This record gives sequence, C-alpha cells and structure tokens, in this order.
Amino acid sequence: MDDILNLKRIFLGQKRGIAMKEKKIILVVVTGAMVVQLVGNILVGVQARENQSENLLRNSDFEVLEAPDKPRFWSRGRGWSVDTQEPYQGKSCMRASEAWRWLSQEVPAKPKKYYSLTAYVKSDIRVERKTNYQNSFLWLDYLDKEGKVIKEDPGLIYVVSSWGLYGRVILTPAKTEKIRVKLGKRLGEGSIWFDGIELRPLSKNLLLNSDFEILDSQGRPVFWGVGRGWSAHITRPYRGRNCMQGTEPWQQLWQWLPARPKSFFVLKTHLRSNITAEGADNLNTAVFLMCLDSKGKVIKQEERAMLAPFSWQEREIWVYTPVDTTAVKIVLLKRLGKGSLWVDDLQVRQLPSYLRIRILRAILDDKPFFIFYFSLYLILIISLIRVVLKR
Amino acid sequence: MLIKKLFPQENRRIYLKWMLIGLLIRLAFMPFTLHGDLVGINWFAYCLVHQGHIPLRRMNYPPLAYFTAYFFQLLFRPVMPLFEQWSDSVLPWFSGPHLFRYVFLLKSYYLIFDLGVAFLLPRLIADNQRKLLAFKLWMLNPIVILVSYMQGQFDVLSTFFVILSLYYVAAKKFCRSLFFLGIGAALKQFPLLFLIPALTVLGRTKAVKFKLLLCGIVPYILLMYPYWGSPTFRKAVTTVAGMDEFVLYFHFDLGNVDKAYVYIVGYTIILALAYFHSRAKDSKEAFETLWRVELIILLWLYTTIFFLPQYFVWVTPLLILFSVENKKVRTLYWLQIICVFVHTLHWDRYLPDLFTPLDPAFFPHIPSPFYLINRYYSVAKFMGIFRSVFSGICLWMIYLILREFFLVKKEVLR
Repeated sequence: MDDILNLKRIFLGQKRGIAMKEKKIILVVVTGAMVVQLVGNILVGVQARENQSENLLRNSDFEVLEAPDKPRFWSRGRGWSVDTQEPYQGKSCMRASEAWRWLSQEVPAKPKKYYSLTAYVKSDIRVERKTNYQNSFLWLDYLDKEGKVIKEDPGLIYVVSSWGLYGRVILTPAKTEKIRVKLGKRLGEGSIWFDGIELRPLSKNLLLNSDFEILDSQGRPVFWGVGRGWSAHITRPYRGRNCMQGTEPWQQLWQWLPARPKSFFVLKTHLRSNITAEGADNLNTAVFLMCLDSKGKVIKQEERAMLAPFSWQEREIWVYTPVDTTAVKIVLLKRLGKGSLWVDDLQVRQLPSYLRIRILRAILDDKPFFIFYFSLYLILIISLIRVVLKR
Repeated sequence: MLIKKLFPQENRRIYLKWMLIGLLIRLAFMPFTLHGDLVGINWFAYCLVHQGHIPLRRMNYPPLAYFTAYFFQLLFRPVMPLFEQWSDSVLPWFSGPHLFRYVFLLKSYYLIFDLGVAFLLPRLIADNQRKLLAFKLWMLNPIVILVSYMQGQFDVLSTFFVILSLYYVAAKKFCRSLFFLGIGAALKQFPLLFLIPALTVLGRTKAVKFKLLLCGIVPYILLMYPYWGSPTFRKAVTTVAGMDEFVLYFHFDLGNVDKAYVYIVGYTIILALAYFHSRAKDSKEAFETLWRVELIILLWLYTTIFFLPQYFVWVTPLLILFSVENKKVRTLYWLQIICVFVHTLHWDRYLPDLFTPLDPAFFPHIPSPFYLINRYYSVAKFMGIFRSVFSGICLWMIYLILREFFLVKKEVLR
C-alpha cells in the first residue's frame, strides 16, 4: 500500500509539493522555450529576408566628387566623365567613352565567400549580337594581401540603350584579401553609362532577384534564364509583387551560381500550381541542382519530381558538390499536365557540410517540434529512472 | 488515479517501468521513419473526405480507416497546416517542410490503441505473473513497433478492437463484443474471419445468434453502405484489397476446373471445431474457447498464404495469451518474430528505406540485408528456409491448441 502511495506521489506530483513544483518548472521552461523559439524563428525569418548586407563600395552612385569628373573613392582612367543628364538614380552617373579604360575601386574582402556585384548600365553603342558583341566590363580582380592579382574575372556584358540591372554572384578565391572592381567600355562606337554599383556579401541567399521583383524592359526577370512559356505574373505572388508562371512542360527557369567542390547547397522554393494530373503520375514539377565542371559539363545532378499544390508551399532540394565542380545550375520546370506552375521566393544557401545529415537540418528548421519531442523524451527517461531507482 | 486504474495493483511500478520502456522505444522511431503506407492512408483519407472518392485502384481499406486518419488530421491541423498540400507519393514528403513533425503526429494516435491492447491484455489473464508477462511481451514486441511506428500501418487499431471484443466476451457482454468486432472489421477486414466462430461459440440459440450477428454486422454495413456505389470500393471490399489472391493462391487442382483451396479447407475444419466445442458453460469458458479458435484461424492463415509483415500484428496479442501459459511456447513466439523479420526481405530495401527521412542521400544507398545475404547465399532459399520454420512453428502451435481442446473435451466426457 505504501508503495502505491509513493507511486501516486511521484506520478501525481504530490511528494511534499516538490515533484509538482519540478513538473511546473519543466512545463514552464518547455513552454517558454517553445514560445521564444517560435517568436525567434519568425523574427529571424523576417530579418533574414529583409536585411540586406552592406554595400562594400563607397560612393557607389558617384554623387560625391573630389574633382571635376573624379568621384570620391574611385580611380579613373582616360575617357571617363561625370554625366548629370540622365542618371539612373541621384544626380549623376559615370560615362565611359574610351574602351579599356577603367573606373575602379578596391574593397576589402574575405576568401571563399560569396558576393553579389550589380550595376545599372546603359549604352548608346550599336553592336550586332554576334560572336563578340559584349560591349562592357564589370571586371573584378581578386587580390591577395600583398596586392597581387590572384584571379581576373572580366565579367563581359552586353548593354542595351536603356538603363538595366546587370551583375552576377561571385565566389572569391582562396587567399583573397581585396577585390578591385573595374568598370569599363569594351568595344564599339559610343559610350557606356554606369550608376548604382553594388558589391555586397551574400550569406542568407545566394540567388539574385530571387523573388522576381526586378524585370527587364521586356518583362523578364533579371539574372534568370527563362525558357518558352515562362513569364512574370502579378496575381497571388507568394511575396512582393511578382512571381513566375510557367505554362509549357519541360521549359526551364534557371540561374547559375559559382560553386566550390565539396560544398553543400540547399535550395528552398515556393511553388503552387493549378495543374490537373493526367494518369497516375501527378508530380507536376521538377527541380534540379546540376553541378558543372569548368567545361560546363554536368558532373552530378540532383533531381526532385514533386507535386506543386494549389496554394503556395515550400519545397526543398539539396546537393553536395563533387570534386571538379565550378558552378551549380538551379533549374525549375513544369513536368506535365494541363495548367500552370507558379514559382516565387527562392533561396539557396551554402551550409556547413555536416548539415548534409538531414536530421540536423530538420532540428534547426523545426525547433518547436524538436523541443517538444526531446522534452517529452527527457521527461519519460527521467520518469523511468525514478521508477527504477525508487524502492 | 489514472495509473491506479490502469495497472493491476500488484507490481504496479514494474508495469509502469515496462510501459515507459515501450513508450521510449516507440517514440524513438516515430518521427524518423517513413513508409509509403503511412503516406497512402493519410493522403487518400484526405482525398476521400474532400473529393468524395479515392483514385482508382488506390482504395485498399474500408472507409472507417480513412475517416479515422482524417479525424486525427483535423485534430492536428493547427500544428500541421500544410498537410493538405502534400502528395500520395512518398518522394515529395522527403522535400516537404516539417516532415518529422508530420510523420510523428500521423502515427501518434496509434499509441492510444496500442496502449489499449497493452492494458486490456492483463485483464484477460487471471494469474498476476502472467498478466505482467503479457504486458511486457506486448510493450516490447518488435513487430508491433516495426509495423505501427516505423511502417505506419494502422493494424493495431483493428487488433485493439478484436481484443476489446474478447474482453467483452470475458465480461459476458456478447452483443458489445460483436459490435466491436464489427468496428474492427470496418477498419481492416480480417476480424470478419472471427465472426462465424464468435456466433457459434457465443450464441446458444438461433435467436441469440441472429441478434449477435446483427450487433456485429450492422455497424460494419452502415459504415460501408455510403460507398457501396463506387466500383473501386466494391472491388476493394470483395477482394479484401487483393488479399483474396493470397488466400486462394495455395490450392489443389482436382481436375477440370475443380479446385480445393487449402486455407478454406482448414478454415472450414476450424469452424467445425468451434461448432463442436461451442458448449461453453460460462463466459470465461467461451472466452477461453474463442481466443484459441481465433488464434488457430490466424496461424493457419500465415501457414498457407503469402502474408505482409503487418498481418502478424493481428495475431500478436493472441500469441501472447498463448505464450504466457508455457515457457517453451514463448521460445517459439520469439522464433516466429525472427522469422517475420527475415520475411521482410521479400521487400528488399524495406528496412533501410524506412530510415530515409533521416538522410535521403545516405539510407537509400546503403546495402540492404537482402543484398548482403545474397552475396553469400541465395536469398530466396534463405527466406524459404525461415518461411518453412515459421510455418512449422505455426502448425506446431495449432497442434498444441488442438491437443488442449481434445484434453478438455475428454475430461468433460469423463
């Protein structure tokens, strides 16, 4: 009988009020932790999306001049002038009228890190779009701590007559201490105008224009490759003003990223569709992460066929890059069926290699559940120990 | 108070200990293992409720199974809001957010029925030591854990209702017993195999038999009727989701188109046995007869048909009732469990693939036990040997039960 009473005390928490107190404390701690995590998650999520990292380039819109035609912090070669006629933003932009003359600035950088380089550029050069048509440079030199150039990245672009956003994601080589940003005209008769140059470190998302908010003059999303049937869509986007709508099966929407071997990338994307399945196969969407070598050959490919539902839902795919990888291509496509696929708010992150273990990633992604789960497990283990040890 | 009510007074702390151990093992697997069966039942439950039908060839269970799954989906909706946008295919689940949370929740209600069996079993046994042993054997049964919490099959629900039906036989509430047998059959149809023996053993007169039949069959029919118009559903019911193929496969050609189905022959003999032993003096005796007949029916089923691992959950509580009586039978019980694990080799990557949610890049690529065994010895022969051992054990157990029957009969005649 005593045993039973003891048991009752233990499990009903009545042993001089201590067990009850302990239980209350555990309950409060667990609940508190869950609430904090939940709120934290929401806030961190908001911050992750809203916070843009700092632009490393100073006087990036050329508003401050230290001498005529000489913007502060920038070194310029011959043929560069300040233009106040039609800047993209502010009061002035820079105009290059001579080819292979640079406007440059050096900024400190870290090795093996991702940065985005973007610039608004326009030109009045008329070049036919043939083999050698890129009329401008968004050139980058990667410098070591002695100031030697480790690697040159010419960044050829073909600029058209209206202001447009150009750029790319870069991955700094090992030993990089500085990046020299060099803007220049490459070929043709006429001038190139530059404004709003930005070099920003990337950490939360390695994709540019990941929510398709920036469209070019033809309504296509900047930095994205689009196949037939893909277009920007303004009805019911997941966030912002636009999303992408794909209507044709097996037509790609893609973007490239420079990548290092043995790196782990996770792509998260939001999808929805109104595709009606025909037959047993209802997986209407496919997402690919292709690892490419320096010759552009696909050396590894992760593919997920998935069902994009009627309302927005997040999907995830990941890849661990093999040796010889120099780039990763992100591809989304509609697989089959009648109807459209909508895509919005993509995110690619490079995560530490140990997060290849799915469970570790899952714990980070769903903290409230795992706090609940491990707390429950812990409570049961403690109860078991108490039962075993209790005489 | 709850603990006091649930556990027998004797050894209450030991019960608690084994319950906690059993729960810890179950919880360890619940969120981290996934099989297409869990995906299928839950996705089609959603389809049945929202679209009124299940895609052709995909309705494998009676409607109550889907309604039960949907009921718990509704219950968990606030914490799994995106479930309705998942798919019937297991692959998209791997890339969906909160996979572990969803898998955990979708299996969590099995615990209610699983613990229900655990608490009912001791109530069917008189001896205190055997009560505890039965409780332990159920809580630690690897097949129940594998099927319910790794594979995500809901056989434990039907099994619970079968045991509840037996509990009411012992409590002399026969109508209630048949009612719960009908509910069990409305989840998975195997309890229908026990309907005739139950009527034979429990109904003393034709009128009582008819009343009991109504108690058992009415809930079953009421739950089936609204879907009877669907050809898919009709086929699922009449073929027991293709199980008839398994049951009728082992047969003898008797010439022309004449056939003798081995399972049916044996089942008929078992019914005859129940009929000739139907003169139970009281509910206790009726209970003792009935669970043994039900055990023989299932043992004969496993002996003569190709079965799936989840079928073994049906027999587990009955086997436990049988094995707590005899230490040597317990050895056979554990041997059977080993044989069922070997039997899972039929599905090649069944065991390693269950862990795919933990790491979809790793587990699908580790060598399966099938592959490893096949490197040294023909896996077909290997499985066949264990299958034969399993059938041999089942037959020996049937013999032991029959011998008990005939001994009792002899004593009665004396």
